Amino acid sequence: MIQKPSILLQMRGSTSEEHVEDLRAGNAAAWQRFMKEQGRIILAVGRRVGLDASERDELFQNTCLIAYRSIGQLKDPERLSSWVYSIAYRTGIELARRRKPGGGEEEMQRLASEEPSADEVLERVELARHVREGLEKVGDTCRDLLAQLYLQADEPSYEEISRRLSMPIGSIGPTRARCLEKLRKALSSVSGREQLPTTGAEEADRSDRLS
Amino acid sequence: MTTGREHYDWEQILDRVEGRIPSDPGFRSHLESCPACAGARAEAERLRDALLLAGAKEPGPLLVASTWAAILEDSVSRGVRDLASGIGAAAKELWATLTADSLAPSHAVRAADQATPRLLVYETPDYSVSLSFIPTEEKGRTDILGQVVPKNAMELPEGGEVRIANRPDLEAYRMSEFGEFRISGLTRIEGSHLTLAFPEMRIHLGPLPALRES
Repeated sequence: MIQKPSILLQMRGSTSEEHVEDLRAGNAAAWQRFMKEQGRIILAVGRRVGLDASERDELFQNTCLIAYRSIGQLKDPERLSSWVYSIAYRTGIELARRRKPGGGEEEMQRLASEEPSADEVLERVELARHVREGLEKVGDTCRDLLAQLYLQADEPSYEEISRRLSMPIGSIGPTRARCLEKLRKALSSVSGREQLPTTGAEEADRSDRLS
Repeated sequence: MTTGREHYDWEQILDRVEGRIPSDPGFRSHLESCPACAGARAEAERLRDALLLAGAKEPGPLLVASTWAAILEDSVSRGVRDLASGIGAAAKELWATLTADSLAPSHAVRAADQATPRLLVYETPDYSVSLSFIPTEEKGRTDILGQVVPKNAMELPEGGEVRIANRPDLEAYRMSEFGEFRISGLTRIEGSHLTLAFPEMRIHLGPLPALRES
């Protein structure tokens, strides 16, 4: 009997550069790690561009295949996540486009124009690390609502959220906005980012009050 | 719908970023002329993406396994095509089977300890390929000493060389007239596929197993 190869070998190192080198060499353990770590990003992108659960699985597989074929083109190992995000984003749009042949092209073009830059992706990945910490600072109501809206795997509808949280459906939207504002401020202090700009409406209101 | 001076408030911007309200031309036009609302839109997208990333789960084990299988299958078939384009179409493609492993407990030849070179033997009906893996003094690097031997008193074709699939950074290694070859200082061997290429035949081996038991 031939011994089966172990796919969970200890890898040579864990720095970004070493990890990408292992990926380029086709190291199975490195690709297992890639699929787990970058898989979150890929699946989040799938939700971002409006794919359903089975389409996101297809997106995951297609993105990993493309990444495997083209890992040699990645110049900066530190940008692995943003590189994967870009592949997933464009692949996701193609999947969404395929779902609606001949229709929704304007929506697809809008999505394509909104693809974040590599630096923006890295910033968002970094910010995501602080989200749970930020949610601890926004109070129970906001934490529960934002968790239902964005962190639940089953992606409940407003109707379901209303039932779960005993919150009127009509108040979910406005409450969401207030809670995201609170989270925005909490993340500013957690991530060390400057206080965020106000909207034009807020500036106009302030100007009215002062005049 | 906008407020007072045709600006959009935070909730209105969020609704458009999240697709609850279509991103109408009026909204997009306003963003081009209002840095404040454009900045708020960018902020809403940033926040939304961070939340989606924070809430994303790891892919399940079945999805990971099926994806890895698809990657391997794709890699081997592409490796064959790549080599075909580089070397020229061959008359025969042969896939060798691993028939002996010095680490396998049931095999007669068992390594006494980890310092003994690992020996693998692959076979096709007409050829036997042996591979010895010898750690070098440089940590993490291994030499592979190999030999392909025809069975049944056949002659070995001339002009053979060895390539490692999906490692375009590595050159081909020439075989001797006796089918011997040496690949020096190789890193990250596990999972690699070797191709022994002759003018009218190619023998494929792999994926190579881990060199040490886990």
